[in-house]
Amino acid sequence: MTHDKALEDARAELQKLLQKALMLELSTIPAYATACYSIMEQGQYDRSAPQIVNAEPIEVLRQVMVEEMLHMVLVANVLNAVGGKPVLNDPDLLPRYPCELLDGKGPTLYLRRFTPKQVKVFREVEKGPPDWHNAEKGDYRTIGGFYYWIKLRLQKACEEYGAANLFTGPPGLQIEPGDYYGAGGEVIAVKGDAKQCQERALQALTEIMEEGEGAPFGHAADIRESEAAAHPAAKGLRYVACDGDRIPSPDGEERWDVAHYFKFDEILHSRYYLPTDRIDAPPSGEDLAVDWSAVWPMKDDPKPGDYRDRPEIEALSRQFNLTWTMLLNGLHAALNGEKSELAGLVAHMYQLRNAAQRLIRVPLPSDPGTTAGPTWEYLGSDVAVPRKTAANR
Amino acid sequence: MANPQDDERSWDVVIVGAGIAGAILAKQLVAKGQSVLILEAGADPGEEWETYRAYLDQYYLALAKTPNSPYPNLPTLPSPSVLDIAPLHGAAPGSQGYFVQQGPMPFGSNYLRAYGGTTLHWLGTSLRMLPADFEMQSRFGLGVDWPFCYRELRPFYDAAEWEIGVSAEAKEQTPEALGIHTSREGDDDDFFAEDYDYPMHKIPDSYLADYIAGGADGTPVVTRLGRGRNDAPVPGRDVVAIKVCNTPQGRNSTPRPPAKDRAAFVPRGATGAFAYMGQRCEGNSSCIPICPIQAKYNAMKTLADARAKANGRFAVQTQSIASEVETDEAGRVSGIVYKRYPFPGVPQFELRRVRARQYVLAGGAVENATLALASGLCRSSPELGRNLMDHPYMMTWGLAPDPVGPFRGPGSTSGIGSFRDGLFRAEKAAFRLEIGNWGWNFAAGAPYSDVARMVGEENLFGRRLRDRLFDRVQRQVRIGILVEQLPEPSNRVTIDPAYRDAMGQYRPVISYDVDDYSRSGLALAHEACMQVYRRLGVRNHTAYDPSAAGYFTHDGKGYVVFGSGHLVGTHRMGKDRTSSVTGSDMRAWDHENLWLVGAGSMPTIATSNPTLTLAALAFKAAEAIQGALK
Repeated sequence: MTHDKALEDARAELQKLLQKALMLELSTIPAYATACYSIMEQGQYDRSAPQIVNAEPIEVLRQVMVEEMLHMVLVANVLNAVGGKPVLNDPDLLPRYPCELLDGKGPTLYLRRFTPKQVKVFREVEKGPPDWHNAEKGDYRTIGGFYYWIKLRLQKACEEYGAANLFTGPPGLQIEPGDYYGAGGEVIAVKGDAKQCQERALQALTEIMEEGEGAPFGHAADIRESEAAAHPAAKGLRYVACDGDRIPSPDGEERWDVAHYFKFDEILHSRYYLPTDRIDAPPSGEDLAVDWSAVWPMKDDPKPGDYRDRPEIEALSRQFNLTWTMLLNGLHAALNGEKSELAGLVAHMYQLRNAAQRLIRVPLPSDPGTTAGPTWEYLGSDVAVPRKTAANR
Repeated sequence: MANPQDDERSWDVVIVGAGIAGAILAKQLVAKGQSVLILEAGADPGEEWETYRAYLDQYYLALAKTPNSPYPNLPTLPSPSVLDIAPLHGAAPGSQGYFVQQGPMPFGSNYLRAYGGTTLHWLGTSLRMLPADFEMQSRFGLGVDWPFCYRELRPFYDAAEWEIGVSAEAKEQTPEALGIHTSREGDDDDFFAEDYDYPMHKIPDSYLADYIAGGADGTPVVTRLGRGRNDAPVPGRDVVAIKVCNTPQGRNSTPRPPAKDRAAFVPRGATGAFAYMGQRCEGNSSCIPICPIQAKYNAMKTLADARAKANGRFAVQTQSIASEVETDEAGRVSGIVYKRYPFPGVPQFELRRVRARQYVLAGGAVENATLALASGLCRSSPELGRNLMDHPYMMTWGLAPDPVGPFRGPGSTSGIGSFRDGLFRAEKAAFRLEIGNWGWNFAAGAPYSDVARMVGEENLFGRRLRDRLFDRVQRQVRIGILVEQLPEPSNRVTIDPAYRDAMGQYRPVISYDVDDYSRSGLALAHEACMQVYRRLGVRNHTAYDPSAAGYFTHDGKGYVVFGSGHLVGTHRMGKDRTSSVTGSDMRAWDHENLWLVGAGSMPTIATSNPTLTLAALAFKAAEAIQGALK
C-alpha cells in the first residue's frame, strides 16, 4: 500500500467516525427535547398565587441540549478540518427511534415523556467509559469511550502521515465564536498551522467528553478511583462533577458548570451539584424543585401511524416534522459553508418547541389517557429553509 | 418624629437607590477598597430566580402590560404608573397615583422603585449625546451649557458601554447617521476614540428597519425656511436627508473578538441557576417591560459584580426608604435617616440612621429632588427640583402595502438620527425617530385591539379572522418621536405636606408643560414621518384623541404626547453655584460630603435616551468620590 493510499484510508476512517459522532450528538436531541417539551407550562395561573413548577428541570435539560448542539458544531469543525463533509440531510444516516446508540453497544434512546425512568436513561447515555482498555481497542461502549477512540485514531494518523497532510479542509468552513449564536462553552475553530490544527481538534474532542461525562469514569460506583487512575489516560483528571467550563458569572467571581451526567443526576436527586462535589458522593448544592406529576401524558414512542385517521393531529405532526426538516437542512447548509444560516435557525428551534407542545397537548383518541407527541421524521433535503422575508423573520 | 436608632456599622459610602447609577458607583468604589451600603426602598431582590420568575408571571397575567406591570407596586411604596395619567382640568391638581400633577400638562413618565431600578423595564437604547448637546447656550442661545464638553465625558461613555454591554458597530455610527451635520466645525471628528469599538456586534436590523431604509433613505426634509420673505431653504443647511441607522442597544449579541489592549466582552446572562440563559438576545419581544431571559442589561448584573468584588464590604439593604438627609452646622451630612419596613405592603417601620463618610443620592431625578427638598438641602441655589425634562413622546402609525414582520425581535433595533442636530435648533427642538418593531402595540393596543374589533365589529371568526388578522397586523408600521425639551425653571418637582404616601413620605408634586420650542420640533417630526410614509406608500392611520391626557395643539393641529420615562434635570451640574445644584463632579455646592448622581445631574436632555449618559456620569462621579475619600 502506498503512503498516499494509506493516508487517504486513514482520512476516510476518521471522516466516517466523525460523521458517526455527528449523528450521535444529533440523536440525543430528539429524546432530550421530547422529555423537555412534555413538561407542563411552568407557571400555573389557575391558582390564587401563581406557582412556578418545573422551571428548573426544564432549564437543566435545555442547558444539556445547548451543549449537545455545541458538540455538533465542534464535531463538524473537526470533520471539515480533515477534509470531510458533515452530512445532516441523508435519511439513511439520520437517527430513528428507538435509537440504539453506538451500533447497539450503547444504551437505547426512546422518545418518551419526562419521567424518572427516562432521565435515568439519559444519565446512562452520558456515562463515561467503564474502562479504557476496551475503548483503546476500538471496542467502545459509551460515548466517552467512542470519543477516546476517535482521539487515538486522530493522534495516530497525525503521527504517521503528518498533521499537515491530514488537516487539508478549507478553513473558511470552520464555525467560529462569532458565527455561533448560543452558549454552552467555547466554539473551537480547527485552523491555523498543522500543529495548531492538531491541538485544536483534540481540544474540541476533549471539550465534548468533559461536558458530557465530566470525570471520564462517570459515577464512581462503577469503578474505583485507584483502578481508574492506573491508566495513563486518567492522568490529571478531576474526580469532581465540574466539567471545566466557566459559566457567565459576575466580575470577580468564578462559577463552574457541571457535566451532563451530573445534570441528569441533579434532576433525579432534586438537588444541584456543586462543581466541587466528588463524583462518588450525592449532590450537595441547593434544592432543585421537580414535580414529576406536572407532565403531559404523552404516548410512549409516538409513530406516524398513530395519527393516521386523525387529520388534525396529522397536520400538527406534519408541521412539526417540516420544521425539524428545515432545521436539519439549514444546519447542513451552515456546516457546509453557509455560516450565516446559523443565526436564523434559532427561530426554527423555537418553532420546533412550539410545534411539539401543540402536539403534546392533544389527547389521542386511539389511546385514551395519552396525548400525541412529536415523531421527529425527516421529510427530505428538498424542503428549503425560507429566505429572509417579513413573514418568516 | 421618634428618635432613629443608629446602625452599628458605619460605611465609607452610603448610596440611596439600587439602580444603574448606584450600582456603578458601588462597583467602582468597592473595587477601590471602599465599603459601600446601598439603601433600596424596594422590597424584592429580583436577583433570586424565583423573584424574577414571579415578575415574569405577573407580566403574563397583567391585563395592561404597562412598563411597571411585572414589578411590585406596594401601597406603601408606590411607583408612578402610566395608568394614572389623566387629563388635567382647571387649577385642581391631579392626585391619583403617586405623582401629584399640577399641570398644565400631566407629566406622563414613570420609573420603578425596586432593586435594579428602572433598568428592569428599559428598552436598552444606549445613545451618546452629541457634541453640540453640551453647548446649547453658546451655540443657540437656549438653555444652558454643560460644565464640560463631549470630549471630557467620552472616556466615561466608553466605560459605560462596556459596563452595560452595548451592541453596535462604531463604524456605522457615522456623523451622518448620528445627525451631526451642521452645528459646528469639528463636531464630527473623533466622536469615538481611535480604535474604540462597542463590546458586541450590533443586534441585526429588523426587517422593518431595512424596509424603511430601502424606501426612505435620502428623503430630503426641509427643517426650516430660509431667512426673509420667499427665501428658499438652503440645501445642506435647512434640508436634512433621512438616514436609517442601527441603534446601539444594551442587549447581548455576539461579542467582538478581542482587540489589542482589550479582552473580549463576556455576555452575562440571568442570575443564579439560570446563569446560562440570556447570553444572547433571542427576540422574545418584551424588552419593555421584562426580558424573560435577561439578555437585556439590568442593574442587577452590576450589583452582582459589586458583591463579587467586595468581599463583604458591600451590602444592599432593601425595604429601607431614605427619609431624611441630616446635616450639621457646617453643612456636612451627618447621617441618613431611613424607614426600614419588615413586611412589604404594611405601613409599619422602624426608624433608623446610617452614617458614612460620603453620601450619595442616586434614586433618580424625581426621588433625589424629593428627598433633598424634604431634608432642606442645597438652598444656595433655587434650581433644586427645577428644570425637570423628559422626551415628549409622540407616535405616528400606518399600514404598509406589504407585510413588514412586526412583533418579532426587540422593541426597536434602528432609528433615524438625522434630526438630532442642526441649525434649525435655534428655532425648534431636535428629535430622534425610533422605528418601532411591535406594530401598533403602544399606539393602538395591537394586536389585541385588532382581534377585538374584528370579532366584535366585523363578526369574523375562524380562518377568515386569522387571515385578516395576519394581513392587518403584519403590515403595521409605527414610528416613535422623541423630542428634546429645554430646561425650564417652571417644570419642577416640589413637595407639599398635604400630599404624603402611606409611609409618611412626601409624594412628588410636579408642574410640567411642553413649550413651543418642543411643540415646533414635534410638528416637524410629524411632517418628517408623513414624508417617510408617502415615500413608502404607507397609509397613514395616525389619529390623536382630543380627550387624551397628553393632547395639545400647535399651529391649529392637534397632537398627543406621552412620557418617555426619561426623567432628567432636577439637580443639574454647573460651573456656578447660583445656577446649579452641584459642580461638574456632582458634589453638592452646599454640602461637602454629599453627591447627587443620575439623570437629574444633566443640565440638558438633548435627544439621546439618558441611561447611557447617566451611567457615564456615575463613572465620573465615582472617580471624584474616590478622590474625596483619600
